[in-house]
Amino acid sequence: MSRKLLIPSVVVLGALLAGLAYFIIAQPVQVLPRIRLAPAFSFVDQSGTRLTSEDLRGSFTLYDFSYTSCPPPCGHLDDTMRTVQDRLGEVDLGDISVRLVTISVDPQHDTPDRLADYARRVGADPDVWTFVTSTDPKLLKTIVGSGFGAYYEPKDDGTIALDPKFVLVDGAGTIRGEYRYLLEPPDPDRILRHLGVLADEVRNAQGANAVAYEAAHLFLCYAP
Amino acid sequence: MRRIVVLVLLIGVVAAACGGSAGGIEVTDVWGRPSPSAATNAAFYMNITNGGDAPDQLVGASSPACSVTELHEMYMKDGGVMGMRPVQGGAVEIAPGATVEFKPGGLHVMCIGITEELKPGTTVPLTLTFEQAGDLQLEVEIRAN
Amino acid sequence: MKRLPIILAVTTALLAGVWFGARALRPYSFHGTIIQSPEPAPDFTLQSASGPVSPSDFRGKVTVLFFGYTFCPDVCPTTLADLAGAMRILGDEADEVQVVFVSVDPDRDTPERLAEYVGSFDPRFVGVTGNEDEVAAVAAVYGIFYEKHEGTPASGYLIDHTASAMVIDREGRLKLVLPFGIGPQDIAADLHELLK
Repeated sequence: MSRKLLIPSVVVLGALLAGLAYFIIAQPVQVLPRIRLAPAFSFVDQSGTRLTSEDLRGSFTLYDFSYTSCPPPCGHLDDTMRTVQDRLGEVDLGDISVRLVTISVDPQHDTPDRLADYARRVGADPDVWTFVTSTDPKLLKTIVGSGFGAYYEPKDDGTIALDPKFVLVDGAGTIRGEYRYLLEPPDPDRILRHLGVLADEVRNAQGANAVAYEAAHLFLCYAP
Repeated sequence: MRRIVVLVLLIGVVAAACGGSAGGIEVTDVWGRPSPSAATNAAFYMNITNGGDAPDQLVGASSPACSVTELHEMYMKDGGVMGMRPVQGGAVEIAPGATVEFKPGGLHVMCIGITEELKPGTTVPLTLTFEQAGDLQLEVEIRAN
Repeated sequence: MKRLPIILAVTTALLAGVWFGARALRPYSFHGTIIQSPEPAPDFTLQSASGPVSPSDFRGKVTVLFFGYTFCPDVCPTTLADLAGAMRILGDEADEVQVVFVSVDPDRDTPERLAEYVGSFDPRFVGVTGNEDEVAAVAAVYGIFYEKHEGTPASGYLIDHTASAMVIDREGRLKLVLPFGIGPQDIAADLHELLK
């Protein structure tokens, strides 16, 4: 092999490897993982209106799971949701809407009226933050437990054992973020940052940029 | 004279096998998927071109292969839920110079209650009724795609 | 300067080599949406004409789940025909693929009726259903939304439903969501990649 051949080939290969290394180490493009499919559902909201998973297509939706007679730490869950609601203006979302949905895991007691009272008490903006429950407790358990991966179990004393968590779902119905309260303190900053990361990916869903975003998925360049 | 009549009839039959035309309306590529008798319902697809100067409307269809025939369209909501519904007003507008495609995932002639198994390689008769052009006799080619 | 043409030729060949090399190394780009779940796909058991069927029965194969109903005139036959077309394109490899059609219309679709229906597209396809609650639970966890709506007196009720197909890899993880209408070639290419 002549030296003339060697030098350019080393240069080109080196540049390619450097580019790849830059992409993987510096992570100029960050994404959120596509974790699981979000479950499909048809719930009833605090005004008695139906809310389905399909109504939320195209929006980013942040879910949490609670019930109106829940003792603390449910209060912290509500505080986090309200903080996200109040600070949505800080995120560059383009024309993508963000919805917050609190799913009550106490369908026996949480009627629409009770949910409406509760929503007012915690300062929910009805255009953004919806409270829902189901008329079918068994299906609710499947949707929340298996679908969203949020464990809950009614106890004999009337309270409900709950593993509190937030779940972030993208416009295509894929779970992109899970924030378990027991593993990490609720962090509205992180959730808001993640909403921005999702919006960036939607903005770059076409053309050459889309390739970079797919590569970011491939190399697991996940936003912290 | 009789030979001309026969010839015209023959051309008519040949034309009907792949499509047909009347009053400026031309229908091509009429087809449907093979359906087992367990399927109950089937859909027929085609291209309808209005070569005339006036608008026309497809107002109905009928076929001996179907108990009832209706004009349906598929609709898709954001992100993947799909459904079927009868077309609005029960008619499909065919504007002058336009071609309206009836195709999978869009408009289709819904064949409700198939009366026989639709076997690949066979044809079934279909009559399309237009408001202006009147009835058009066609043959639906049964094929996989 | 006699060497100039040689240098040019070598450089061109080298660039072409790098270009083709990079293309060969470039990861396969799926037509469906990749899901990066480390967990197994939700398992369930529903009834086919020849007994109970669970996705976990097909561990080692690539399993395609599609939800629909046999009264469906357009979307379901189109998708099943596309899947059957993909099976034909895959040839021998298709034996490593299991298509499961889940009926969301248990009132009208019996396992026997389903077997005849899906079998007409490809004899290897399996059709399953269960009671209303079972089907609702399976559809919910796979993100499949469906609801009945009134048709005409002749058509009876129709069912709106999510028309994407879910692909489970050999290890039992939900790997891919295929949107409606991508056609047999693209489906075959994606399945071929998952079979590697």
